[in-house]
Amino acid sequence: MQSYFKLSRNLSNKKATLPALVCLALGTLLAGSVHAAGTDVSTPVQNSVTLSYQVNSVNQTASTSVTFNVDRKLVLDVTTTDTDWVPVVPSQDVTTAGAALPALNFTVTNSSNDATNVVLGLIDQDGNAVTGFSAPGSAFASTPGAVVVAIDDGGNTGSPVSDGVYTQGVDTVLTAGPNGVYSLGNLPIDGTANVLVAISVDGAEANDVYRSYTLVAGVADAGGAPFTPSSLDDSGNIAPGSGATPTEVANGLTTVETVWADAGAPAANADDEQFDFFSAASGLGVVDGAADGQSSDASGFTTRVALSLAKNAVVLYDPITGNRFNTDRVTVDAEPKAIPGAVIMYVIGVANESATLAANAVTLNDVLPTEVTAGDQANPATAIVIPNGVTFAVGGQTPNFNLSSVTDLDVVSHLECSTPTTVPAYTGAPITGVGGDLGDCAAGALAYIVYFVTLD
Amino acid sequence: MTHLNKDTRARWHGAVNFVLGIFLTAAATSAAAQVEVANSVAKVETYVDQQGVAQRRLVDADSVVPGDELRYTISFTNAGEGQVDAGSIVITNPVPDSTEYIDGTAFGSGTEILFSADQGVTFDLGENLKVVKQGAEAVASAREYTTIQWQFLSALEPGETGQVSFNVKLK
Repeated sequence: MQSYFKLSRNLSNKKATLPALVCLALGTLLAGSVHAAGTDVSTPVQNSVTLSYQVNSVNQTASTSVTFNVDRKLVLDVTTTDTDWVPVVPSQDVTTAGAALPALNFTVTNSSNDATNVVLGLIDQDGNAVTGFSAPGSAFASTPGAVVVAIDDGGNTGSPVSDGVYTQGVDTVLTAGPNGVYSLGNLPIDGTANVLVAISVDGAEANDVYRSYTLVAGVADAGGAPFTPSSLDDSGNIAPGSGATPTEVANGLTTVETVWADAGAPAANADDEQFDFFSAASGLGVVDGAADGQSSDASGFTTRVALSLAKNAVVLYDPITGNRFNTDRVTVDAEPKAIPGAVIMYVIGVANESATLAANAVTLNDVLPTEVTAGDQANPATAIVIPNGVTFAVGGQTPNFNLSSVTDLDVVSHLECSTPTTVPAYTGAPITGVGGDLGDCAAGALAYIVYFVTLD
Repeated sequence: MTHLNKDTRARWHGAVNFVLGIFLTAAATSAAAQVEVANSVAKVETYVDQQGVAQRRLVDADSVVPGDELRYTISFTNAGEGQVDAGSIVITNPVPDSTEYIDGTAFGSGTEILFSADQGVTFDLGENLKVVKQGAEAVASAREYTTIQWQFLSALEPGETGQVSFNVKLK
């Protein structure tokens, strides 16, 4: 089993196997240590008292003690690290091999005084508001085609281990069992798991629509996966939807009973709901209560246009070699080098990756390197030949940008998304940067700006 | 008993208790009186009554988890036929491991209550207890108390009982 969980105090940012974590938990249990969650389960607490006294000035003593064993306090905490709606792109697909997609980020923490199996449930909140987020607009028009709940183990070879992004084929996808129950794993005391939720988005979704989800964690019985959600504790508490009969187990000082001690969500957090792990894959429309063995938190997605950007540089000329291109503006004639006095052409391409959404009022700005001067101010004796076009990848497209109408090296030329046939020229070249207003970029549209510099 | 100042008395308690622990078991077998002591624990539970007011009550300590408040009650009875000497009853109770004493909860009618922050070596009133924090001496907080001691001031007649108590929080 991979290292899904980490101990926040002892093993933060370090990989360790789950058996190692279990052994660690056991070791500390035997020592009767105190974690953030409190004294470990089963720790004997003995109170010994001694009474000394005198009778006719003769000393005597009496003593006695009483002992109880610490019971099993189970508390799970689910929190999202998202601070506002997570942007997604219409037509994104969680099944695309290697896709790296934005995801809802949740942290599940075992704040109990014992390790416990943990199950998860996911509630689709449609377009409901999320506490602490900006107010949502319209909901998604359609139900996401696929929803993935995964453990963010990064898998990406570098750090951090958890990168907050769902990467298909890398992060560990959990499979929902009956009633929508996902088996997360066994969390040690103070252990955490980073859980991602990612979705496929229909390409017909409009811009700025919303979909929210509530992730619910619940305690589960001992045993291997798939886990059985716990239906009740030993203090008369029952799990939502379990239909169990509240039973307060007759117990004693030295026996160990399970007590659910979760605080529940504030009443105002309508999005932090209870989940029915027992009869339906759904929320109950009820705010997560105290001592129900569950904890929940919500986050959500909103659609946004995705623009891709790529920058291409071509050395057109150097004072020794001369021009790269023949006068036909197509044939490569030589390989000029990037030496002082060389003239370099930069083409910055922009692509609207969305299949359906327009990006309005797109502007582009580029800061020039300090080692270059904009325009062909070196004023070479030989005229610089500009190619008729240049081809390079921008996002998912590899367009050939037509530069046939670009003739003046002293200006910044651009191709607006909305006016693709003409290349208006800027008057004068900015000294420290170039840029342009590319207008409204329709779905799939391309734009570029072109400028020339002389290497100092 | 000779009246002692607090510092002297604290040292006296520590030293005498150590000596008593070694020698007094045999002496007790020949004495005419016998004090029986009992030790019980209960959980302090907070609940809301019918008027919506938060109240506290004692319940069985069968279900105890970190964060719970507990009350220990020590009762003693003179089960013998002779009087126990006035001022001779000293009850010493280390604060149990994994718990911390809750300030102001030690109680004992007719007793003087002292505390120790050094595992029972010295005892004094709480405001006089000192500990070293970050290299400087400071008044010990209640959670740093390691031992509680009650001195029953009166004589204990045959059949008479007494009781002391204190509360802790399970860490």
